[in-house]
Amino acid sequence: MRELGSGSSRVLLKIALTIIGVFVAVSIVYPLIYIVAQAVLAREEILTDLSDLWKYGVTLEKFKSILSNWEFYEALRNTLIVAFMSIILAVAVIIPAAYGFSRFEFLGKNTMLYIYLIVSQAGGGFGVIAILALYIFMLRLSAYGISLFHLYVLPFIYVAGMVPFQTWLMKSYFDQLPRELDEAAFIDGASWSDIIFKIVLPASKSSFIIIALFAFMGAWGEFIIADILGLNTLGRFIYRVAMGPVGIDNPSTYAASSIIYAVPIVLLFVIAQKYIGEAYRRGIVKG
Amino acid sequence: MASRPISRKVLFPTRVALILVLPSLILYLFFNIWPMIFSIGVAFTNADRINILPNPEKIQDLKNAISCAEYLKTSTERREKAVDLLHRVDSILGSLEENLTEIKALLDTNSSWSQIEPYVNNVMRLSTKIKSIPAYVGEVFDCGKLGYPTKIVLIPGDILDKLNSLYTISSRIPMLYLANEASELYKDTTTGLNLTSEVRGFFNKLETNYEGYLDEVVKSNKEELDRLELKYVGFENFERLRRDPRFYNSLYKTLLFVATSVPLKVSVGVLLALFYSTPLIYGRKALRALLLVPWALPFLLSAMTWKFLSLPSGQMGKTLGININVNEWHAFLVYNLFEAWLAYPFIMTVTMGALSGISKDVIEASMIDGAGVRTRLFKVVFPLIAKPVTLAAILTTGASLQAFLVPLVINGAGPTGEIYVQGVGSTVGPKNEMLIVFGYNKIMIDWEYGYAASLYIVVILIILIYVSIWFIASRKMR
Repeated sequence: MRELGSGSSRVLLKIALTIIGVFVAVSIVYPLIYIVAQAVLAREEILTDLSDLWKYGVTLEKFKSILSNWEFYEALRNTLIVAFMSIILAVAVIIPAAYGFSRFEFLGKNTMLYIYLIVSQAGGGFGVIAILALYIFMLRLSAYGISLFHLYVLPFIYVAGMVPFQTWLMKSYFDQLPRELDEAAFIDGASWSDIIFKIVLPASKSSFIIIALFAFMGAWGEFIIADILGLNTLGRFIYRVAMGPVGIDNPSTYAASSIIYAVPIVLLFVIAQKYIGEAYRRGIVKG
Repeated sequence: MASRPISRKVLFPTRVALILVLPSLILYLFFNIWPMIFSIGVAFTNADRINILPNPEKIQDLKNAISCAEYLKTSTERREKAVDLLHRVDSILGSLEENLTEIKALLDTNSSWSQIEPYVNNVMRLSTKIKSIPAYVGEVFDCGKLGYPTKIVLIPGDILDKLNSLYTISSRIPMLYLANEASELYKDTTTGLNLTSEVRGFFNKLETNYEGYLDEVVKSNKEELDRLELKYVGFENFERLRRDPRFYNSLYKTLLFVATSVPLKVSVGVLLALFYSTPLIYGRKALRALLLVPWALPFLLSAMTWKFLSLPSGQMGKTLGININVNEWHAFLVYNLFEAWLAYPFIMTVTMGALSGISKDVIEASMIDGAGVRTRLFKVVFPLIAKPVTLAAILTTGASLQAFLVPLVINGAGPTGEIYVQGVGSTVGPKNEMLIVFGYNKIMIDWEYGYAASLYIVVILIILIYVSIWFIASRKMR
């Protein structure tokens, strides 16, 4: 190990390792290169090799053609409705609850927190089972003339699914806000609505951002619930149409649709990385 | 600080807490917890597509038909009317049969054409009477008039159809006679005779065993009603699960997937973290950021990419010579690779976090001591990352145990084929069906809700076993 210190051989080793490092990293992210190449391929054929790009040519036509597809547009509109409703609902429901869990003592508080912890850590299976159970329940409800199979119900289902993890996350956030803040206001004679609207909410702006981001990304990325309930969101469009027989027959057009679909999520991920990293660091880790 | 508990109660009243917490609690209970409880109940029923969503009109129709048949059976006035009608019908059909028999006999003996004429005329006259029979029958068995409106007809539909064809035949016979179509006439006469005897047979049975017939009507409608109503079946669904090869196959495939994918993704994540934390790589920060790409992409884009890549015509399918639509193990391999690709950033990040906790001094000290790379790894690095990596591995085991979207998006957990389980039997189904996919298919494709719910109870028990292992492990490590 001693020769590591000597100049030129160390540089050579570094160069060799860097070459290996770049090669490994690029081959691991190769799927991303592949799907982008597929989307710009000038032919409607599954890409078998990047050299196909030279053989058949490159074009941005596919992006244009998918943007003029009315089915895509309708799905996009639905997804935007669902995503924004989810944001509003999540902020309105989860932040107060997290504040309640953080500051107050009430019966069943710890039990509820335990349930939330277990559910948010157990993995996706619980969620899928709960959704399928909900589907059966909704079918039964329809037998009594109450149909919940509606686009506007979807945000409620999404936010309900977000409750355990996000409540924990926000609770730990509020736990860090000094309690003296609310106490002092209370002693000064402020009413509860004053405390919440004038002191707590302004002091927890970034919690809104986190919740809104998670709600938006959750609603945008989700597809299987929408598919089970037969509600036409963009995720469902990608899953059913782009990944189905139609998509495989026109892989370039539908690869372009998936990339357009992915752009907001990737952008938000980059922007939100700070917050997401914080969320993970708080010890509530999602596998 | 002794006054703290008191001041908390005053400062933070339960009333306000409830207002704050209740909306989220209601949302969560209604959309997550309650359906789960509901589906535990469903597991003990025969719920399927028909009885989960029964058509209330149809149920009412069936109920009315049953009451109607029971009324017809007991009312003597109705009974007399019916017997009277049946006599009339039988006499019409009887004379039709006689005339047709005559025509057939004459045709058989090649008698002169004009000899047939009187019988043909009789048939013509009878045809109008035949036409009116369904209406008569309808009138006598009209449940609507008796106050039991129903779309169900108490006389079987095929008998009414046969009466209609009899009418068609009997009105065609005169035309065929006029057109001198001997062979066609013969054919019609024969079918007419067959139909007549069938219909007469039915009405005779109805006449001699009027009550028995109605009893049968009641019975069959009750059976139909039964099928439309959700019923408690006890442990039947669980018993069926015990005998279902698909269940054992999915359990096997799930556990196998855990056994293969967890070591794969953990080792890939740890190795990448170790490799990209050596100071001997230029730009390793940028490379590490690049490696987080699978994390940043929405699942669907990754899924589509991997699906296209692994299709027989895709790049990976061609290079590796695999066909995920034919060979179950090829598909299983792709699931493993895809799962590892999705999950290594998590393991890598956790490992990286643990590595950054190792102070440079420790590594430097071991360098000065002349510890080789291997000793350094085993003696210095591994003990430090062991805890967080184990916890992360346990967490990611949960993802593999509950594999659902990965097999579903790649090829619907296929290929579909014969599933044979020794000692249980064989059946046909998707060969790579993991437990949660199995339940999903039972609900979305086979509409067997009760059965799927019983499966999910078993799955939840398995998940709970896993959660308690996770819980104990994380307690011990703290």
